[in-house]
Amino acid sequence: MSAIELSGVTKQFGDVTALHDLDLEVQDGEIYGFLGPNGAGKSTTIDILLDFVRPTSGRASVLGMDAQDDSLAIRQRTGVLPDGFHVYDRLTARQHLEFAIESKNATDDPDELLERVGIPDAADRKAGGFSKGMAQRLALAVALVGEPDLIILDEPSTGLDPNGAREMREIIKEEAARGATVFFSSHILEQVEAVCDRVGILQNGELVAEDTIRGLRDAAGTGTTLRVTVDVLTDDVLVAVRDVPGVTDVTADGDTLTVRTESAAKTDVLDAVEGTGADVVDFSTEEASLDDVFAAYTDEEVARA
Amino acid sequence: MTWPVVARRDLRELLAEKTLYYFCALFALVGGGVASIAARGQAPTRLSHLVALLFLFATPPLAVTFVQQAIPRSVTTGRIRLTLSLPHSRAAFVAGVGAAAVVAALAVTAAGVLGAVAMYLVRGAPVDLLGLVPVLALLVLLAAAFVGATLAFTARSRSTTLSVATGYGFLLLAFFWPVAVSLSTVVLGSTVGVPVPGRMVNTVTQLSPVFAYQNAVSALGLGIAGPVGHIPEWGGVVVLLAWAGLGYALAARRFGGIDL
Repeated sequence: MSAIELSGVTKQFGDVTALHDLDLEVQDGEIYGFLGPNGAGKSTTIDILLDFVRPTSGRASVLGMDAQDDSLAIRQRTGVLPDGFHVYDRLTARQHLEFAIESKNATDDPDELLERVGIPDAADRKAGGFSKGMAQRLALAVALVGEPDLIILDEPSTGLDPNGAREMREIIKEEAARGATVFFSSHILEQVEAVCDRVGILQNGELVAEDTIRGLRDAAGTGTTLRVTVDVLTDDVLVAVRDVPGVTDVTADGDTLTVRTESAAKTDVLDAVEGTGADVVDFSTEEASLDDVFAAYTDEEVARA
Repeated sequence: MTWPVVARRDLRELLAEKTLYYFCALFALVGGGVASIAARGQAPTRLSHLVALLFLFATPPLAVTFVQQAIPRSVTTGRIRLTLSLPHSRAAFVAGVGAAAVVAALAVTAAGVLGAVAMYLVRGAPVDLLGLVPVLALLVLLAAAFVGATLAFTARSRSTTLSVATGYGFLLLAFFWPVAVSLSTVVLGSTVGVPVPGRMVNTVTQLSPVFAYQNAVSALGLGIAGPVGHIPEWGGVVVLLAWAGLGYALAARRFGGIDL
């Protein structure tokens, strides 16, 4: 079953088209990373799922229910960390959580939730004095109330220090292990890479790519870079490596070859080197980072636009 | 409906920011101060008459003050996103903030009434507690009418400045309603040539929440009479209920249609 499904969703704000005929499907139980540069339409997509904004056309469903008609039932089973939220300055962290617990008719313990998100000592402090990171942790605690079936996190690591971001990732994994579906938007790619089963890249309101991170790397053609150090680098070695199917570029620096491949297996490259009689002294592999993959998709789209 | 949860949260915040306490203390002093004058002499003013008249002028501004920024401020600060990420409908949110504002305005009114009662007791003047009950009930309706109307006017606003201007603008209009009605009558008569009978003018005046309250209070025999139109005294209660109910309904509809 799909936890989230958008079909032909378009959203216009005046003359600006924020989303253009967007189709998106997130399967039950998966961790889905929603990537895109600022202004790509990530938050608008999430706002439509939560019925904060209404689509100009198209249909959105969440947990098998219509995002507009069944919004209350959806939010009863969904935990949300929204973008651009603000805490109630004069209410304590505990009062925020009591409000959420009462709203969902849940039985969670506020202290346990605050412990889980790493701010156990802030229970009786007024939220107006919280740092951005603490407010973000508090909002995450609110999102976890009632063991939701779906967790929607919009830029969850905003304002978090590296430890906070790591703890956030742990919580996301724990929730997924419990059986929840997690849908989160981010522009911090290493965070997405660390936890996501699948990733969608949104650009100018359109989904330009959607796959596993491995699949995206392959499809983007960002390839892999091999560095091979040999005992003696001859022209025969260079020719042999260039002839390996899937190798796109070979450069030499001293006794080290830098080989860029689209699809060639590293064993094929090493076999080609050794086939010339040279000995491989050392080698290393460098995969394209998610940044490269992201840039490959978004730069291409920008250029096309 | 989850509006009581929203209302309790808003009241908790009002209590936490202490504004409500300050208002209560101030109005207790005002109520006591005015009562100290009214309770003097051999024939003191009836307490219910004093309360009905004093809070005709005090409760509407309180109601407007507590509610005028409730929706625009929630939207502009992003607090609404935290609230509506939980299972509350937009209508429940509007009802919740409205209920909190009514309760807050009535808490301050009650403090003022208590101040007046205390002063009457100190002065040895008669305290007609039973006579106060219907007056307090009408003050509840008066507060609800102004809260409903203000919510309706500010439901789509994203500017707190504009919402303040709208709220207090409506308050002024409600009090100076006869002037507006008279001006409209003159304009109608001079431009279209349609004469408007005096009783009809009074009837339109009775539609103001202020004069509807006055109309309803006159049924209690407290000597506070408003203009006599086609709406009977008990009809003042209906007019106040209509302002509250229609105001809320319009606010919920308007707020339900905006992108947050």
